[in-house]
Amino acid sequence: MKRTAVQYGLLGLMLAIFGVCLLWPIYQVLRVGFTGVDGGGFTLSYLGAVFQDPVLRRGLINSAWIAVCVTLLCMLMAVPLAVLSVRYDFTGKKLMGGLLLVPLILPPFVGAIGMRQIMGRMGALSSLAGHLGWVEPGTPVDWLGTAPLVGVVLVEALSLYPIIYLNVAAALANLDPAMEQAAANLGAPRATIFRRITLPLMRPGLLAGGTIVLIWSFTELGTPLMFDFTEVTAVQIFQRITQVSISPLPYALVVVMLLVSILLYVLGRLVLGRRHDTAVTKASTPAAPRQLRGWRALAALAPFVLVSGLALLPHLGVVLTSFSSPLRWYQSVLPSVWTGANYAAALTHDLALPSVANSMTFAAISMVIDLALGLLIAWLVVRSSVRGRALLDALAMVPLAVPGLVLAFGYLAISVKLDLWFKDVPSVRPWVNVQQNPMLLLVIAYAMRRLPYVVRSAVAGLQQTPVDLEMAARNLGASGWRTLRRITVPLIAANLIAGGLLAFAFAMLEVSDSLILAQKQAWWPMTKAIYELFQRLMDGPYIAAALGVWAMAVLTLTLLAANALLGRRLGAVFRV
Amino acid sequence: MRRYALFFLLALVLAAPFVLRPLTGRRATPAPAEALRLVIITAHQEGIRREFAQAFDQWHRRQHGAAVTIDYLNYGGSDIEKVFRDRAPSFKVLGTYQIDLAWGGGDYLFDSRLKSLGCLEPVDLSVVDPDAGSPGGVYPAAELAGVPLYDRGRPPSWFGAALSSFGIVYNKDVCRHLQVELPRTWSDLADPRWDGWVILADPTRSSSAKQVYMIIVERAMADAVAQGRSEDEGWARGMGLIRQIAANARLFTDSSSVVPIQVSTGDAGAGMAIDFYGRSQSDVAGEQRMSYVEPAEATAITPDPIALVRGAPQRELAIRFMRFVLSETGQRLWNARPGSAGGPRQTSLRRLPIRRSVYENPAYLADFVDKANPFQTAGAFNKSARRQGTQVILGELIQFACIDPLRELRQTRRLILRSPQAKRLDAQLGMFPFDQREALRRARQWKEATETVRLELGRAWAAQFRAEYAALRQEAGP
Repeated sequence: MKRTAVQYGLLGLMLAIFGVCLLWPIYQVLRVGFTGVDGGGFTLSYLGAVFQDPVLRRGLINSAWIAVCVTLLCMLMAVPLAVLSVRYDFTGKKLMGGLLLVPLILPPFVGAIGMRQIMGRMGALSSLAGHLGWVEPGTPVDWLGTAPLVGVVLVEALSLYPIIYLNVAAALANLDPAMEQAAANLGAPRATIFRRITLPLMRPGLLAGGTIVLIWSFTELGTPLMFDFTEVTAVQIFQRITQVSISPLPYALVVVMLLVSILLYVLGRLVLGRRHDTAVTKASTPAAPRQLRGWRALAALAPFVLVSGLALLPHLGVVLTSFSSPLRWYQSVLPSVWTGANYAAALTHDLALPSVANSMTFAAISMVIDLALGLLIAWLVVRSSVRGRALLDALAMVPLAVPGLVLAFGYLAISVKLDLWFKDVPSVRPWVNVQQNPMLLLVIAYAMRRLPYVVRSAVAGLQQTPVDLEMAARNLGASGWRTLRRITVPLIAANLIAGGLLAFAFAMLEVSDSLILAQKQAWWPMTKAIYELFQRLMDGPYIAAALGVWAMAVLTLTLLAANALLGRRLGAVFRV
Repeated sequence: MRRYALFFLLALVLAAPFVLRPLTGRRATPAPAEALRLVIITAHQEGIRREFAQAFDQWHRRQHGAAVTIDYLNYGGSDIEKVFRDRAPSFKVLGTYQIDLAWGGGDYLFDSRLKSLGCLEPVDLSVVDPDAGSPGGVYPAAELAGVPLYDRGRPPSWFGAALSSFGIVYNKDVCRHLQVELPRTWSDLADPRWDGWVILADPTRSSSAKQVYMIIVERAMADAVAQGRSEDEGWARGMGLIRQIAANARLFTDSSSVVPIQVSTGDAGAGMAIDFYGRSQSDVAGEQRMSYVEPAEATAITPDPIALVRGAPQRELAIRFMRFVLSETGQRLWNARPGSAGGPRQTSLRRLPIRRSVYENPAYLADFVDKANPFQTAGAFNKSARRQGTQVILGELIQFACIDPLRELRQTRRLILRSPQAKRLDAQLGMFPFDQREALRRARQWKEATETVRLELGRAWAAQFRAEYAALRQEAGP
């Protein structure tokens, strides 16, 4: 009885936290979409106005197209790579396998600095085309402008495929080879085995990653902004919400975007079929990868090199930009004047170092919050039998479906409300007033946005850990808390650390919340500093590139560390 | 083992900037705990903010024996208005916006938006200018070429702190590629050869952009009157010209600084820019690649204001800052060479001072980076408040006519120019479907409308333009 009371108590606490920190900000934004800015009665007319506006309709259609194309392209790229990676061994596989994951970590507008230099009209690629004789030397070529939708799809696919790759690789690794061997024994050719046995068994991994990619690419803001492609819902929201004339239209658009995202998420769960916490047949003996040599090894390595190479192009661009003298990478394949001054400037710039310190502080605190909450939620979802844990699980994943902008504006609105409520409480006011000190709200925002990673990681860990050890400890008289501390946590330590690392790394480069909530310069996180510098004339974008390179180094190492800890299980973090 | 190496490397990279910083030799003077704090909401770029903060701190320590740090809230012009609107409810309750000063963003922002919001506190000129009324004061004359240098209200709500003008930045390599002459004035950008190479700023998100569009329209109105036609018709021509330029636009950007950036990298060939943006970026890019030109008789020199905010928590300190900015010490910072006596420490700000007396001192002039004297060159174009009646709705009109249907607009012009009736149809496109009188009526309608009605109005106006473009395409033929 007592145990159940404790479990329900924890459930209640978690639901309350979600209510205040997640649902309340979303509600603030939704409210305007249905009642308007002046607080009139409930009406669907604003939603109707969204569908009647041809510009917004086109935005929705473009967004949907992008989402579908990106997902399909990701699957096309990721599945062969995953199969090669799991089933075969060849020289360079480990390194390429690691590099394959790097695109996950670069925030879009940092990549924009690099892409602009490489694919700008007078950029590196145009210059290369001139050298190769494809065009007259010095001729500008509009790589980005002629078919921006294609560009957006390619860049997003090249940065999101690791999610599907990780999930499919994990599913393949867990496959019981006995079934494929049985099919082979019955005389089925390899192609048939793949189509009728492997692919269906891979389906959960495929669709888990696919759902995330679908929603992510539907709500993605940074990449279309990078291409100045404004006919996309996320950009239209961003542009309209920051306009002076307060219109309820962007809020209504947000409602539509949310509804579509939720629909996609629900579809994904339905198609997936059974739930994750039922036993998955793990392979009794994992299939040993076949060794490839000679030209076969090279042929297997080639797609890895190709995909990684393309995906790392923006990163390369950022690195080169950071070493280029301002405006001295123009009409040439490489910068014409090299310098380390951008790094020196980044170190001494009043914007740079304080923002780095801010980001690290906020990210670290939010990581600790995420670990605590994530562990509790995972434990409730996997180990307890309380009713409503499915709801808790779903709530924990909501931040993945909600565009960052929505939460950011929601928190801003809450800050204004809280400031008024606590106007006579001088000890509390500075903490809730985002203009004076955004730390509290930023940390909550980061924590909520990154919670899904820790939850998924912890859930995967708990699912793969037999409950027997915990039960044995309880039988010997250990309390629930002691069992958690001495048995459970050490067993899933790798998952927790990896999840925490990812939460930290992604929080370091959080975009929307940082841009909107951090107002006073002293409190700016790194993303806001980079954004400001990127729009600064002269050497601004180059200093931004230097900061970006440092951030990339941090995130690459974080990801490699998480990979080293979790290996194949890293995919579980990105599952729905 | 590898795991530990990774973690160690990670810790190393995380700590690197903090370890390396002291090695670069520059140490920031830490703000003492008892330093006074000033909160300024500003559109100014980082270099301006930093230099003035340092100079004011230094000045204040000397004059008043106390250090000052400035907390800047940095927003674009249109967002500044939004911040005040958002804080209006808490202002009603608390009596303060928790902001001391508003600085930069263009005179339109201060005069037409912030002033009518009631968030600025008027102060007598003598409060910010101890020499007011004498020839050595900040503003010996209240106007320059018809443009007020400080608010006309008595007492004034805002004071011009620097001068800006607007012009065209262009990339010479692109001009060569497109085989066009270097642009001299706004109408040059309507040349069809610029198709896809012009970059414009969105007037609903950049208040400086709105001023440029207004200047184009006012120029057209002045031309119409000079040719014996009506101002209303001139207005329609000016808006039509904007449409033709927009038909050459690659995109509309949110931030006015992006225009010179994209022109400098060759992603755009030309665009409208604020003078100091254009000049400073051209400097770094090099005259060979990029240049800035002010259209003769089609630009205006306007003040960039500073103003005291109502309910300023540090009112006295704020007034001191205003006095500093308007003093000769402050004014020299705008244009003097970095490192020179009286100049900024690091960054060249490339702005034109508003205080006449600094132009009359040869010692100051010798250190100036830009040798232009706006008090001598101004007068070529008179702005007139009377002609600016539609400025309040200019952004929306351009949004519905050019930005939202940009794709259709571009397609329409291309088809028009290929048709046998190109001249007639392009002239039609170069004339807005309604004149200034109708625009003023719509402006009143918009102002009085609720948000639901505005949605409908916007939809109707956008549909009207789309229908016009469709009809033009039809006439142009297949």
